[in-house]
Amino acid sequence: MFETVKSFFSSLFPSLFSDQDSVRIGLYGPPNGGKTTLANRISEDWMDEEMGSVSEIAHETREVKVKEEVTIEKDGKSLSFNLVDTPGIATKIDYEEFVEQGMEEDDARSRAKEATKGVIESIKWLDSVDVVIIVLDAAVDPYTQVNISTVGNLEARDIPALLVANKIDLEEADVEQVRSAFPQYDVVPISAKEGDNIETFYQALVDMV
Amino acid sequence: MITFKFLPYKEIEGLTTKKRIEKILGLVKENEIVLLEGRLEAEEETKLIQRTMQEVDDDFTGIEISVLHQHEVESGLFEQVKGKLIDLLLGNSYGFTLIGSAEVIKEVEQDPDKIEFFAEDTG
Repeated sequence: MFETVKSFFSSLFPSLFSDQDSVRIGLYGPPNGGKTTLANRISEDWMDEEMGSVSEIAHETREVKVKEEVTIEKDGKSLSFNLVDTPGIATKIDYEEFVEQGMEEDDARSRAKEATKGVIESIKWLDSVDVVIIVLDAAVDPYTQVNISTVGNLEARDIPALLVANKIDLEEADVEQVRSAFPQYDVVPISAKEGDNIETFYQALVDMV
Repeated sequence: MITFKFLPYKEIEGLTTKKRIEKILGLVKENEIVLLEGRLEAEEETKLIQRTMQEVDDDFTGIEISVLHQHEVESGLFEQVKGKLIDLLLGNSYGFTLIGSAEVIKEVEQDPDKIEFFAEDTG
């Protein structure tokens, strides 16, 4: 109960609940990039439990979720952190798109409303994370203004970031396209869903923080 | 009819972030496609997205935004030096930013050299 109440208030006022000893790693990126799938992968691999639900319909994650005290151990190095899964950042949200994907109109309107709040919350949390994992769908054009703007914000705030090109299990995945869009980052190709190359990702994360 | 509003950088240069966003969103919500000379700061862009999300309703589903600022992704030494010089001399007044309502701009395709967009006449 206490944890639920704490989680609710900490999502509203992240700075009030900051713990100086805990590194906060935020998962950021556009909707449907696979942030929650990666959060679940990390959480299942190291804590043996899921973190959130995933869906083919965009904006499944509509509020920030925090998994506390995750510890990764890799080649003798260990990294403890709080994992922050954020809603996807978008510039437009139309409930009719959810209806087209099979949702009832009332549910679609409600999802759209919650999704707009989720985007606002995600951006707010940029003030409270220490490290960011940018999660992009390697099968989708990465050169969008939302992605450029997210990266620009991280650079302006001096927040170190690891860029993952997710969904490499898909035939259309093009990791080189992600690399050429953001040449300032070392890109780690993974499939969070299938676990492909996930050990390389853990190594890169431990090495970076 | 699809209409464009060219916004010279000097028209927003002296404004606070809040006023810049209000001006741009005001035009966008009148279904103007705004062609801004230069660009906003990255943090201003995210504030614009935040403010846009607060305004989303049945009639306004958000915005499309795209920035043409070529040297941003060029990684060669000469391009980097050129980019730094341009930033030093012109600041954010270099490049162009396209912003429009998502009801008007249906799709944007962007790469470092060009922006292509597909607009729909809502009038």
